[in-house]
Amino acid sequence: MYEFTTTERNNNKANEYETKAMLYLFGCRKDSINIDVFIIDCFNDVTGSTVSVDQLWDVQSKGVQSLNPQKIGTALITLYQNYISDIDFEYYILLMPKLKEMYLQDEELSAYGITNFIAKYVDKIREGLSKEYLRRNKISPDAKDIEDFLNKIEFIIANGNKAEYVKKITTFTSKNSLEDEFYNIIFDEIRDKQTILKSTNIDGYTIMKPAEVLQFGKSIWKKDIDSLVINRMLGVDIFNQRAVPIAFIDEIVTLESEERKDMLVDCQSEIAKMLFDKNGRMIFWKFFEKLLSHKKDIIRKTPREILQQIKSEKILIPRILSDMSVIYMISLLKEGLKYDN
Amino acid sequence: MIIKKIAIGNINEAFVENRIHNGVNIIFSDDNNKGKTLIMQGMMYALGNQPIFPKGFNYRLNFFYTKIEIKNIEIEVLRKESSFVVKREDQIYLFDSTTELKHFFVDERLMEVPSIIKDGHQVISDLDLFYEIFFVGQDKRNPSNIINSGYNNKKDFINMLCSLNGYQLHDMEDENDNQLKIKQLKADISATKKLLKLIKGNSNISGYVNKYSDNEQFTTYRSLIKSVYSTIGEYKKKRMLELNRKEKLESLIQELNSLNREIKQGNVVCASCGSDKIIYKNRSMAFEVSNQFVRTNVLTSIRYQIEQKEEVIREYTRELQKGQDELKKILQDVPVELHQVLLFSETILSEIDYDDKLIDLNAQLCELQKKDIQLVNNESEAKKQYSKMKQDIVVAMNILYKEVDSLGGTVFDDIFTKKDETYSGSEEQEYYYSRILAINDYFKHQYPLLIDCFRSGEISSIKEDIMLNNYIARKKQVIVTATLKEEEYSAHKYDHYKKDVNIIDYSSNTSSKLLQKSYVPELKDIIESFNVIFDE
Repeated sequence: MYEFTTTERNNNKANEYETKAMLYLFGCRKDSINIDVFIIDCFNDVTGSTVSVDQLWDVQSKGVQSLNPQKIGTALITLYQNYISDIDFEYYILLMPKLKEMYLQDEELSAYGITNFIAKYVDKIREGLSKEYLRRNKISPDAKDIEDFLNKIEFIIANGNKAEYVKKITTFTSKNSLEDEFYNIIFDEIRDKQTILKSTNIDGYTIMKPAEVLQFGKSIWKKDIDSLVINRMLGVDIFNQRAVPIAFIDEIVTLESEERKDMLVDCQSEIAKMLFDKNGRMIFWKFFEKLLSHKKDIIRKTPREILQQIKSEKILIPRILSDMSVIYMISLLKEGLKYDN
Repeated sequence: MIIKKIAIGNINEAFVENRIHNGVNIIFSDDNNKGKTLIMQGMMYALGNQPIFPKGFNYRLNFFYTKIEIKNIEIEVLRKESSFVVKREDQIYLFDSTTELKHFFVDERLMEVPSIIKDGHQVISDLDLFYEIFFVGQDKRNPSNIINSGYNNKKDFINMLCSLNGYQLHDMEDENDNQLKIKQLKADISATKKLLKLIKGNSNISGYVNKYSDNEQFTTYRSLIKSVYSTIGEYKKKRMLELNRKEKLESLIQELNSLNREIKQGNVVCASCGSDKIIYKNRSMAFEVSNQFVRTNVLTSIRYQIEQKEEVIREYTRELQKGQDELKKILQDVPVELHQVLLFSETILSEIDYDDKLIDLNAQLCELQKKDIQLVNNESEAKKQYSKMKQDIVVAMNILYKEVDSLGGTVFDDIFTKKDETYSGSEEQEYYYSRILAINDYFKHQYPLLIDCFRSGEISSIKEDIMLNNYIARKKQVIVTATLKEEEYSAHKYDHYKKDVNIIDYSSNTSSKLLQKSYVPELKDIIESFNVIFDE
């Protein structure tokens, strides 16, 4: 059994760190590819999970400047409580700013275990954690548990600004060189969504199996964020590029040059209208998500084949888009999608 | 910018030149008509220059390909008539006019084509005007004006140099002169109208038609006019289409702005406090379809496209005017009796009349805009900078000239010569040589120096040596062509330059037949690499 406690309210800075924690899980780890969904503010600030919730990456973010070992110990409390809970977490991660010098053996590392702390500071961490445990539970923690737990912690330094985190998760190459402001706005959109999810209070609820956590709807799917970023980049690309997507050339090669021009303007206009239509968002995202679920095929097959495919799957296409516009959009996707995803 | 490769041809015959080096290149032959001019003009035509091809060569039937390296980026351009396909790395771009190609070069910061004020509009100089900075063709040379004079003239060339120099000139002549021209234009129009009335009122015309319809002269003129008229029609159609697209984009902006207002009805309002800030607990709460950044970007790009369309429309209007001028010219040569019959049979005159009116209105508009701009400009500083630049270039030209021709009596006092000054063949050659180098040295530009027939007009060997050594000293790509006399050719004239110069011999090409069947597969590969079907 797992009982949910303390869901915290906090400020923008802390929210920003929690978003960084999520994006860190999304794109900065070697095993990022295995994570499918982020559970927000249930077990911890962010918990990455596989789709079947059988593997969990538990992250506590601490966006506080001037952290000292004692405070680090205190900050580890939720991770530790999870460690000794009935649920198995695979990884325990503390995301924090770069520490002031003198605490560490190797100052250069941006990811390290407890062994990178100088011995006397490990004691301080242990002390901080034990004190906080005592304060909350009115009993002292098990010394062996603490030792085992500390050896499992990954300390991760949050370096980089908002834009850099978004860039790391981008699976689409834009034709345009985009300024940081573009990425900052996407970051804020993700952060706002995260904040909304946090406002759902589940204090006191209990679950028996990890998979049950998804029922609260306090989760963000990786593919949703992926779609978001691709969609934003596509939006910037549509009118900004002179280059006709190569895959689209096959569609218009038989047309007269004047007809070609009209065709392009029509496709671009329809996609622009769709992007501006605030009322069509549900249908749009469903459509876009389904489209991106064919990522591998998009890279391999022709846009027209993809169109046939999604039509045969009876996927609802936003009314505003003609077949040609869908093909144009797929052609754009084809050019931007990176192969290594 | 470096020229890497040139190709010309069609499905039946082709030529590919890939022997060009980064330094000085001499393309030469023992006789004329070996294809030197064709390759030089073809190379520039692919890059958006005006067609100035040798007589008997129908450029409309051919593809033109030039590969350049510019700012370390490889760019390949394929042109057929007014269509361009450009390849950069693996990206393909399609353009339907030289204006679009020009914008591509400028927007992508590949070429620094300067802006000038033309007909009251701030426009980017046309590519053919710009290319005259570093390209001298063999034909239509005229030291008192630019080679492709027509829409652009030497005034525009000077304006362009001023812009390149950082001080844009706005107008070099008095506005009175312009107003005079407008007056004349108006007088022309009213005269044309009167003529029209007269002809239409003449009931004997149908008799003339019968009388002349079998006349040979009549049919010749008639087909001439028909062909010009179809060009005019073509441009009218194109202009109309562009106008439509422009309007479409304008209404798209309005539509997008209205779409972006979220429908207010049905918003959830909290029953207890009346606030609409309800937090959804629904998992499917989705992101917005776009964000402000994307929307602003889309709108800006559409506006930019509209601006481009406006310029393309102006270009087509100019082409239209050209066709109409041509039509007028043909009519001038026609005997008066035939004249009326011709006009009647093709109902052309009313079209001229109509379009003249339009053009007149355009001219008036331009005039107003010009005045507007003149209010804000700081002409005197620009003029000062202009005369300083002119002096520097002219001094350099004279030094270069004296070095080649120490006994020569010519003294350049301007970048162009006066209209009534005539030059002998060698003097003209020396003029272009001095000008292209002086401009190169003044601006230190990134472009190669390209001179077709660099020793025309019987330039002596000593002079030629000085010129070649000066080209070599510039340490940049230079491509020149030369026709050698028989004794020069058999003496292997250029062999002693082999160390510094890349020598390309065209003598073995068949006379007047540069394009060969054997190059067709190579051209085919090039063209297909652009995803273009190689058939016409």
